[in-house]
Amino acid sequence: MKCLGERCDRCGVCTAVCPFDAVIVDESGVTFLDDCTQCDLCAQACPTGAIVQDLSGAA
Amino acid sequence: MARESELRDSYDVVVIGAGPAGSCAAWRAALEGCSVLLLEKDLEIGAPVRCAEGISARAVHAFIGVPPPEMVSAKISRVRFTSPDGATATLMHEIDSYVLDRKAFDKALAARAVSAGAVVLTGSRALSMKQHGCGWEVAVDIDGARHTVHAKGVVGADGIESRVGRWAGLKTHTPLEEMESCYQYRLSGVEVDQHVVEIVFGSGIAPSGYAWIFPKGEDTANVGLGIKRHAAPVQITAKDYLDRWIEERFPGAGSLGEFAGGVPISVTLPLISADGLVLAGDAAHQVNPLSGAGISSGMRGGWLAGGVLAGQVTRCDTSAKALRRYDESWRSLLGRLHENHYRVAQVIFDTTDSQFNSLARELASLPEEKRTLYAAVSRAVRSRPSLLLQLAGYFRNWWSSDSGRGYPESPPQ
Repeated sequence: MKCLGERCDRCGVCTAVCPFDAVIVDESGVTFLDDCTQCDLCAQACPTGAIVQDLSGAA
Repeated sequence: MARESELRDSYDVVVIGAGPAGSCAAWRAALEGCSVLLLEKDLEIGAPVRCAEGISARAVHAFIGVPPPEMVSAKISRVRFTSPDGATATLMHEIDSYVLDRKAFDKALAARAVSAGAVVLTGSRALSMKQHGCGWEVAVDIDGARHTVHAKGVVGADGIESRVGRWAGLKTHTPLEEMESCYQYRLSGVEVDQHVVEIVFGSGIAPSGYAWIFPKGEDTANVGLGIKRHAAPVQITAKDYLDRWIEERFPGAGSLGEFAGGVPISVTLPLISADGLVLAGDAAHQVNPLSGAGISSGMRGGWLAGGVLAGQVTRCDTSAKALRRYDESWRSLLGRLHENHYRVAQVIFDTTDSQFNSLARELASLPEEKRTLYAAVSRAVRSRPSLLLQLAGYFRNWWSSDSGRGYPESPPQ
């Protein structure tokens, strides 16, 4: 997954819905950890559509 | 500026998160005689505001007495429901409530904790925790430098994204189907009754949620909405829905600010305590799942959490078994009520636009003095018996879930 920074408000909804504790939000933005399974829940929950699948292949 | 020079190696209680729940927990634990460290990741307590800022006057008075004028943006006396086709029904019941300035209110609560003896550090983010003896070692980033503090007990009050609970092995994540994705603007140039909170239903406006208008003084208001993902096409975000509705409802309004957020519409987590740890506020899913209101329930959760934890620290027993008392006390205080509200909320989410329309129209046709909860309920029951029995509770509890339980007996000094 990747986060489009300009749309992100760092509200933490992505972290809240992640069942794998794989999304961290801090001052620098949104970070996806190796535990990410690309399940897409964070992208669906995001109030601004800031999270999208990362088609480059990396988590 | 965080004053890390004040930092000691060890505290009785470390509270992570200085929202209303965390500050009340820190305040209570300090009043009980514990040494307390209150950590806030943001540089300013109370900011950014991710909240519609409504709360019953009773809750505010119970904790801090009558608030100074600058802490109150609007005084609310009525709630108005608007149906999908625009019919409105203003209930006659007085709902003595405030729309707060959360930046000021949150600071006032943290200041109470400081007065009671707690140390508060802003710009201080908890990074991880590991068990140490019968307490925890908490790693904290303070203004870019890593510190470690020991706590006999930890309060996780770190909001919807709570990671503190996860570090202690609790399952804190919110299932997508229980997450209300929200967006809100502070609008100026809007003509709204400054004494009325308006709640708007409609599948085209806020699918499986509602939109709200909370007056903020003069010609401003907090205008926002929440949606459930499963009820909306995946490519349309909460912000999209809100932008569309505002264009229709408040053309020409200006934005003074905007924010995203989420509200877990769920019952309290099945477990909100662990060895040396309790969770409070959004981190524990203590928000009222019917209204989405979370300030006063978070304060009561924090107050209770701080009290129970402080008591167990004093008794030198912060085991999971001992702290289970917090779970039990919370459940009898508000947890069980929230379970009932959750069931009603499910009915609301299943209510169709035409059902909302006919109910609003029936209510609006009554003279104002007859627009009571009873009228709402009896009409609702006639049109859809199963729905309305539950809607009755919905109207009654909309704002009045504030039974006064769980507050300090008088504002603590």
